[in-house]
Amino acid sequence: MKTPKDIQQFVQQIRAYEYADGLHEITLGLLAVLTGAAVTFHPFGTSAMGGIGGAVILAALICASTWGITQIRLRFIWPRTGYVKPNWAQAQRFRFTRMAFIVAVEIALIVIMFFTMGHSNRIVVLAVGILLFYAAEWTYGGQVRWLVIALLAPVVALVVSILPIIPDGGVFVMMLYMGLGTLVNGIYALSRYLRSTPAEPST
Amino acid sequence: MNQDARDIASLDKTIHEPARLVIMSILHASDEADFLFLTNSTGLTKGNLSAHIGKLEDAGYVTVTKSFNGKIPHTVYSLTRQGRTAFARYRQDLREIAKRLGKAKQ
Repeated sequence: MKTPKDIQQFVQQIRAYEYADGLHEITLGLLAVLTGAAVTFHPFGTSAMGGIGGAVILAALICASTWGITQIRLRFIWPRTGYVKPNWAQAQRFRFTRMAFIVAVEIALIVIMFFTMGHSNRIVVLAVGILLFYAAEWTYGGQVRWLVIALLAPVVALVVSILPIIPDGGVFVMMLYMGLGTLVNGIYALSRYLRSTPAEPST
Repeated sequence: MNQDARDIASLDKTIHEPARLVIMSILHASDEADFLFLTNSTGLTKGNLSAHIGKLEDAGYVTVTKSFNGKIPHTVYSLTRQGRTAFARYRQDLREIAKRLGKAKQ
């Protein structure tokens, strides 16, 4: 029998379990790439209606991906490893103050970024936002791969700022970094997860 | 019997057994978990796990929900309100005993 060190260890394990299959990261990665492309290339135009349409499509994609993740887990993941639902109240208590602070900072940064800043400053702000977001997720779930993305964000921002890529393409490159980094991490996590958990019928 | 010994003897024995303590800890940290997850997390055999969960269920600490995923049976366990209260009390009792024993050692 495995012996617990403390209750907090179980809480941490169960939180990490929610992210162990990498499905959340794959979805987040795809959405980040799509959002970056939409913000940079304006496929719905630059009007207010185009912006609203893009936001509606993004919201629909988030809902669809949440449903899709549950279906994949129900059919392929949970029959292998079992199902656990983290204690929502405990998890929220743990992350609430930290996430509330980070969300407030990020909203303030986004507002400042789009209304007052030039192109290069937007990249800096995006780098700070990515760093804060992934650092917060790392403290919540404990996955080192998130910390790596967080710590590399300023490096990528520096490279993007120095190298003349495409006009106004820096924001897209940063979103692409975030999206692809997350996507690759998710695919790696999923393949490792499937290898390490042979199928077993649930009882 | 002195006070410390009486306090130790008065600990909730349903929870105090190591295997059941692990099960209670996992269920306390989660809203619900199924049999397979508990088997993997605790390292207990299926028979052993069933027996311990049966005792927790008899004590009113655990509730069992049985359903089907297609044709495969799926059993999900969660702590009852009584179970959460009992576990919180058990942790508090244990903490107080450990504190007093620590003082006695000094």
